[in-house]
Amino acid sequence: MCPHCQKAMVIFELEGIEVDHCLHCRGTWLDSGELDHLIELAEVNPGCFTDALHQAKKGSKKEICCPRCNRNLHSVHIHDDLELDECPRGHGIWFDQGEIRRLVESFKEGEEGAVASFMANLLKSELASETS
Amino acid sequence: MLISIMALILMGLGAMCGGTFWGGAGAFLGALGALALWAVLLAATFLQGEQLVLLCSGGQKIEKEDCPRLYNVVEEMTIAAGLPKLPDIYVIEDAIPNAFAAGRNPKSAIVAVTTELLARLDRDELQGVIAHEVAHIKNLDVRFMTIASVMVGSIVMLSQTYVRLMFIGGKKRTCSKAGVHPAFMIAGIICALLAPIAARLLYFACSRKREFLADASAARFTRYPVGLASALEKISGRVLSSEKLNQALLPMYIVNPLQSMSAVGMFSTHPSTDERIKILRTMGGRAGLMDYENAFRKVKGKKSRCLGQRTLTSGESRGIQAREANDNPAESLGTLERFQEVTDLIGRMANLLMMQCSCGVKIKVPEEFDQDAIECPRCGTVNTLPRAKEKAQEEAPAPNLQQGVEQATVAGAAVAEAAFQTLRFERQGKGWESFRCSCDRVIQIAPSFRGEFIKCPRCKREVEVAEKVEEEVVTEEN
Repeated sequence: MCPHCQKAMVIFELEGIEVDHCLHCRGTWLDSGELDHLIELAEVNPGCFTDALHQAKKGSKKEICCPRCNRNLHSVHIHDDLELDECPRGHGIWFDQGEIRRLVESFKEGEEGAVASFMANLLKSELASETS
Repeated sequence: MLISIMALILMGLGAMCGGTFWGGAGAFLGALGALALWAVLLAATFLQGEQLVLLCSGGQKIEKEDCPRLYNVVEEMTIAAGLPKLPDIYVIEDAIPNAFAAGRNPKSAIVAVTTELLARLDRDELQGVIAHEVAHIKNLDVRFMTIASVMVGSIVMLSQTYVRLMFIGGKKRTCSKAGVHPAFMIAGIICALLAPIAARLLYFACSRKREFLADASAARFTRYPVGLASALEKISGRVLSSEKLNQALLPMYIVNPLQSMSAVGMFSTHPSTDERIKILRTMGGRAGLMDYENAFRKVKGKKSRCLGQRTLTSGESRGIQAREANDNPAESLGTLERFQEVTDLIGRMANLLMMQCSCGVKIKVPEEFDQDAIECPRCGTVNTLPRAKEKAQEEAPAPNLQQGVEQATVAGAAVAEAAFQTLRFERQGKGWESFRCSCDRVIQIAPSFRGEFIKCPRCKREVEVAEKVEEEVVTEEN
């Protein structure tokens, strides 16, 4: 279920990693288990991104709810310029439309880079149409 | 042995209850009543034990085609252990790697593993874990632990009721009935308070002993103790909190998921994982029960036995050579393949419509999704959701419109016939495929599916599954 539109999300899988994507609002849900798999497959130093998520300033409670546990998501600020929504119980991260593009633009290396490049690869055509 | 001590505690407690309220003859009745309580509770758990366990953990039964690797390993271990029947295999969707066995006898047993376990472990490790669970079934541990845990449960129940009764009704009774000695009553309360603790300690002791035995048997069944050892290492390295974890199910798991590595008190149901790994690793190229016993003594530095004389002398226990690591590339899957296998399995369990875009992205659509086409976010291709198509009516329509009275029934039959016309789905490739039935229910076809018809689980219609006609190949050959 998309937290925004309450409609069924479609799962896209690339190289064994699944991402839930809403075709209405173009938002994306990354499950924490999938994040772990992604980091493991990318063979980058584990912990940076997840640590950053934990240490990041917890923002306000959002209106939208976690698709897994239905609790309100909290916004987190990573490296000042990126705001993501995270489940308070660690079920995963929600990217609004456009947030993935910003993630891709600002991170090229390390764990965030791995996540960003995977997302860039999976949503290639959509991101291209967004910028044009 | 331990169980009889527990039974004594239970009966003693019952006698105490009876004695307090009805005097001497009551003690006897109380003891019998306590046993009866235990029997009733036990019957209830046995009658629907497996279903209950699975309801608590939310598992789903899988068939061979869902996860051939797991199925195959369970088959192997069933044969190695000499179980009378292949246990039912369940998969639980969970981010914690773990496994457990349940069931009242080897004929109706089940083995359950979590999806994360499947994704983490390679074949040798999975074999070790399954062997451990199968050993629990083979050694009747499951039944034993059910009996024991129900007994603990009834002791706790009885003592709580007793204490409550003493506090509520105690005063009145002591005043009206001088027959009960106050010292007897105080002793009763103390017993009622201590009995549950004692029972739990005994229960945990039983549980720990059985874990070692299951490890030893697993080493013998697989002839590869290192497999289980490295599986335990992997599992214990990733201890997470899980909301699906159920306190009552804890002793059933292969590794206690909430236990930190060092905490092995009198209350832990499992021996420390560290210790178990060390024992398995010190077996040094041998895989017999006796070798496990020797390794156990070496690690513990004690003369204590862990398996017991009877187990050690029953059957072959010595001189079993461990086998080499399995490095047949055809059988071992890489991390990526395992992840894919597991995500496919999860999709299958959630009844998702699975299809593959030409760019390699797998698209999984839930049943509720209401559109008919999906644009791939990677390459932009518009993929239409596959549906079973009505088979074109090849035969000429039957000559109808006969005389008056029959007309209505013929028309009715024609409608019914139309509704049950065969649907047809043409397979696109060899992997997982799925399509929507005319009733909108998603039907999935496993890679190993070889039949010609598949039945819709909702509307019970049979759908013809046809292999793809490969015309291009034919023209190329010509």
